[in-house]
Amino acid sequence: MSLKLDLQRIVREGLINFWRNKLVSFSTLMIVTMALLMMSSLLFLNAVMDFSLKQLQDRVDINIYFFPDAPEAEILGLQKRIETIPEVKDVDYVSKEKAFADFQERHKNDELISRSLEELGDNPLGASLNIRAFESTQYEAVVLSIESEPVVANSEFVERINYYDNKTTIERLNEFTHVVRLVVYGLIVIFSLIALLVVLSTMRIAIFAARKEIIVKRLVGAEHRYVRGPFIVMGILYGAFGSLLTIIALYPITRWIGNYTKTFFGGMDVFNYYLLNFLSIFVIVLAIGVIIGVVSSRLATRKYLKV
Amino acid sequence: MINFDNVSKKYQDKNVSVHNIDLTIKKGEFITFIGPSGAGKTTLLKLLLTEEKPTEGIIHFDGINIHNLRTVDVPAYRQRIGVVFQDYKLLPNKTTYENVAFAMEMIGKSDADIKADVPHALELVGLDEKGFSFPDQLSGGEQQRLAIARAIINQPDLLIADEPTGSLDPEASQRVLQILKKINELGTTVILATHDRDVVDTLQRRVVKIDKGYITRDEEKSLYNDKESDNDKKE
Repeated sequence: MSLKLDLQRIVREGLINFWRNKLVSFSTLMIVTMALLMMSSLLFLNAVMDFSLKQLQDRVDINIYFFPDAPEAEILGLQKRIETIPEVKDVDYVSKEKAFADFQERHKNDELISRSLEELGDNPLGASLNIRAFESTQYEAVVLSIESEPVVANSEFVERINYYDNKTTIERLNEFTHVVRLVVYGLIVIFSLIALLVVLSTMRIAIFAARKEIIVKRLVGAEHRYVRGPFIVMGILYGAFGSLLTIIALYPITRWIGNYTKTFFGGMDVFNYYLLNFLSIFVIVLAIGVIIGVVSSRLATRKYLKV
Repeated sequence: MINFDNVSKKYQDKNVSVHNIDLTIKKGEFITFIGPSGAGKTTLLKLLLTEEKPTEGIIHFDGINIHNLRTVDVPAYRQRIGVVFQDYKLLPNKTTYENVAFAMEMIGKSDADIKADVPHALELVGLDEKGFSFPDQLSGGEQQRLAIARAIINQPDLLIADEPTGSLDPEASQRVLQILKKINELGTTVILATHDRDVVDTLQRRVVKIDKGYITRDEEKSLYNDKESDNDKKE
């Protein structure tokens, strides 16, 4: 038999069975959709977690404070060299004038400080470099590189580096991030497995209802692919339609949840994330749906093919 | 063509269904298995279709030990056999037309051949107006005739019919017998399992009587009752 004709007949039969067994198809489709919704909500959870942790990490930085008489050229030279450290994301230079202005602005309502500054007459503050690494775990390495700079190591310009003040906080943050990631990945694995098992059981029930048909087909001489093929086509249809329903259902769900995540999770709007990543989310959900459909129909038919 | 060589089948509950069966069936033969319900007729047919494996002995089909066939080769073997099952075994989600067409699809017939042959087969069994009906919309007799149409559509080498007239009135039974005779004349070997005396007596072909799992009689051109028991009755 030609492969084309074979495939044509298998696909046709799968489509006809999908249509004729409306009740079974509908209930299986609903279960597949629920499972895919659960899995895609895990995708969103992962995205929200990434965003929130990133936000938290972005708040961490280290500062090098210079003495007021440190020459600006030395500081700018050091800034250039620090920017070449691979782990460093950006370096901001805060001049002593800006530091003074910021200080004044911060304490404009504090009369005592304002009067003290007036009495001093001169700017007592030094310049500083504000350094941010890509990841909070990289600060240790960044500080080591900075300390090996001759300007920092042997100079009387640097007053202090605040990394050591924040070291414990940064380490705690790293630990927290690590644990949160582990928990979320664990949740993703557990709930994906549950969803997979639910779909598998549903497919088993659907195919159990058709076991007589499978046995009859085998007895009248149907080859494995001819018996199994239509069920795999149905599995693909469940996966494809299920992912379509999932992506449609995600629109109002993310829109509603987005209002809450905007305020709770450092400003991330899941609805916006859904709109921006619509195509990739759809492709992922479709791929998962089709793979689950094919795998579970293969597993569920295996038992009855032994006749 | 078919050779049962000391074949026995014991079930797990120690219930022995057939014992030490030695039987040879020639190509083109029309053979009738008779015997009461539970005698072992259906078990023999299941063994022949590789639906069951013998506990002892070998069954050869055209010189091949059919229970040594690899799983992938079983469909090709079954495609050489047309079967009218006692419980019909129709595909419930397929229409009458599709049930017959399915058997043709299995052997790779083109859509054009299927369109040409299926209506003829349905006409032959008197179901030409029921092409779009599903099995559960047919009467018992109609389902049986559909099973016959499916079994003969590919002109198989062997036709197994397990009680094919069980749900039919005498007129319809005669029609079925005519079909079986016709297909036998065209070269198909026919094995008919029945306990319908009229059918056997009308056919007058080779009769193999099975009782409690043993072959108790094997006669050419015979009737339902053998000559001895007839003589006993006369006396």
